[in-house]
Amino acid sequence: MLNVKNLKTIFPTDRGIVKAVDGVDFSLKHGEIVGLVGESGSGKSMTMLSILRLVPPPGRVDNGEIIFEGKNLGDASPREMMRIRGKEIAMIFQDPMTTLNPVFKIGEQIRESMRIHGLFKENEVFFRDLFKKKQKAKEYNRAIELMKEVGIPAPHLRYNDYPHQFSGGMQQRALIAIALACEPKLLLADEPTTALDVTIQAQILELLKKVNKIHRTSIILVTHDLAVAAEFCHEIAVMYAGKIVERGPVDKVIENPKHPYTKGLLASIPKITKVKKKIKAIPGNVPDLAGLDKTGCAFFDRCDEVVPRCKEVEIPMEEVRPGEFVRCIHYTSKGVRASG
Amino acid sequence: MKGIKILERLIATIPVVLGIAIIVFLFMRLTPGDPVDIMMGKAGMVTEAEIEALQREFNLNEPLHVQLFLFFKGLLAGDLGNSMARGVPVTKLIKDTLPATIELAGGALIFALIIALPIGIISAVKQNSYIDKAAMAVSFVGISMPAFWLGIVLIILFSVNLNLLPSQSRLSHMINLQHITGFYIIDSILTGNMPALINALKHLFLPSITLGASMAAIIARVMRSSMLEVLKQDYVMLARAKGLSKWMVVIKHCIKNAMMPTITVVGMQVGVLLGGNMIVESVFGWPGLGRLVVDAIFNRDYPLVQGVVMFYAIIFVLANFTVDVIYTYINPKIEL
Ligand SMILES: Nc1ncnc2c1ncn2[C@@H]1O[C@H](COP(=O)(O)OP(=O)(O)O)[C@@H](O)[C@H]1O
Ligand SMILES: [Mg+2]
Repeated sequence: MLNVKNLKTIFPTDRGIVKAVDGVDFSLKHGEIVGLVGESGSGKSMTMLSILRLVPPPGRVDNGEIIFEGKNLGDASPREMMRIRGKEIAMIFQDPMTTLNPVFKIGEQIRESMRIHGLFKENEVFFRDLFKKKQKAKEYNRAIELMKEVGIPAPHLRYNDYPHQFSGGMQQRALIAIALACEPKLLLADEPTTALDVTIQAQILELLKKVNKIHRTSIILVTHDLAVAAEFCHEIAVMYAGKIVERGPVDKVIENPKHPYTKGLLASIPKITKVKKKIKAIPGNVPDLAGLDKTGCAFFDRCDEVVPRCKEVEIPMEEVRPGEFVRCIHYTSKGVRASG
Repeated sequence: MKGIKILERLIATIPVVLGIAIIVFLFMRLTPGDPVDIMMGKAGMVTEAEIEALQREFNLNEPLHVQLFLFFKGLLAGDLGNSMARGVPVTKLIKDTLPATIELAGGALIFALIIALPIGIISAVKQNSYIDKAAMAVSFVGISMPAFWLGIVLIILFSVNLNLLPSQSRLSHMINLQHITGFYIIDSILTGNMPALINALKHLFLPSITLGASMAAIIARVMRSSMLEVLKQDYVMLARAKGLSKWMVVIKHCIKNAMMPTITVVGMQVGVLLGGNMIVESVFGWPGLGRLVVDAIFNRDYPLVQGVVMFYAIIFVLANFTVDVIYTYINPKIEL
């Protein structure tokens, strides 16, 4: 249903061009959940916003194709994009606290996308229902239904609350209700649980799983937590410095990681069962993308399998087994690792 | 619930007003030297009769606490004393001139808002465009331009050269208007007097622009900067992701949020509009409160000056109170 090819999103800045998304490829089938994993600053949010064509200026999509349901979104007119946003593709944002408009009632904010997309628009005779009473009643009922579905208690009362009267978890539920309002085919969930504490995190993820099961909604789950992705997704794509470095079915990636970065991420997950095993953080930091206009692998300075050629050649994405992709010098067709 | 809180807030302003009253009262009485000298100015040729009248007016022969008591007693009865130059109650003079001043302030406010809000909003949305740069340059001129100069330029241009608009008073002599409220616009509408309405609006035009220009410039700048701040917020992105167009997001989601700082400025400016229009009223021969004060000062009419100062202070307090109430309607987070 979604096919992203060679997506490049750039930010011109004083210190040169920042390649926030640098040649990202992935695809998504109906009813599938794909996890997009990576440290913060690796370009996950920008990938999501690029799909919606909402990259904040001066940033822009520089290259690539985004084929959604057979249609290239790069060619879509602004009007067509407006019809797709919220109706076909909806997004759940990272920070519920700042994403809800402080001056409008929660219920009204849930109702809004239904109104924008004319979900319950009546074929009314001119002036018969000037104030759209029928339409409003239907929208209200659906908003209440949605609030129930996402687990907001006493929805009739909470409908009239303002965002600051909601807890963080409830705000995130409201955001999910907003995203689900028009039953989108694709849900872009950008770190939906990062701002929440652990028990609520699990509840929100359960909720998304339920939505995926019941409505067969495809989901891209953005997270910096590989453990969350492992539990929740069908496919995983690992992103580093604007590039996808490894991608494949979840069990393959988790059980047999190939890219040193994926291995590092896995080793840094605390495991409750194996008490003895040490948790290892990946040394170093995410590189500054502005200075990153060099050839080779961006991970080379933090990698423990680095060889001199890592910095010398452009490393292509290689399909090592059907559906399993890696971008690493040790897996290029010329130099496939004997043990791999 | 909210009504009760608003009432509470209103009652809470009473001590502030009392405080102001005491300061006004003490200001003239506790200054070293003879109050009569201070009030009348030493240079003036003051007659015995005048001094006596002043002493009677302010009960200066009584002890201080009796003076204060009498002052408050008058205040509660709405009595600010009598004008020395005109021999009529100060409250009557204020009441007679107030409609003219409010009408002018209203005209200036409407002019400023109509001009400034769209400019501020468009400048922010089109940040760094030529429209933005031109608007900010004009607003800079607007802020630094003295009102008397702008008023004179407008009079020369529109009244003298083009002969399009009147430049003096509130209404032409040949126009008859039955006075009901003292607001000429309202009176002419109430009596269905179309010629008077048009004539009054024409008279209001130039002074409103003169008085409102610098306010428009300030509001445009405040609106622009708060709008720029709002446009960066996450909820703007959410509104776009719901499928709203860029301008619909601005209109539906941003303006209400961006209005907060603007209302603060408007609230402060209302005080300036009512209290700071002496120059504009003088330039345009506008028979309002501002001109009343100017006359009072030149006539050394101390009771009148004191009364108007008291009145201005109350206006400022009320303007602040109104802003606080408006806040609560715009931002649900803020409570009284
Ligand atoms: N307004 C901006 N100006 C310049 N660079 C930006 C801007 N926004 C994002 N970026 C760049 O894009 C990169 C990716 O950002 P983002 O997609 O938000 O990361 P993630 O969601 O993975 O944490 C950042 O590292 C930053 O360098
Ligand atoms: Mg992000």
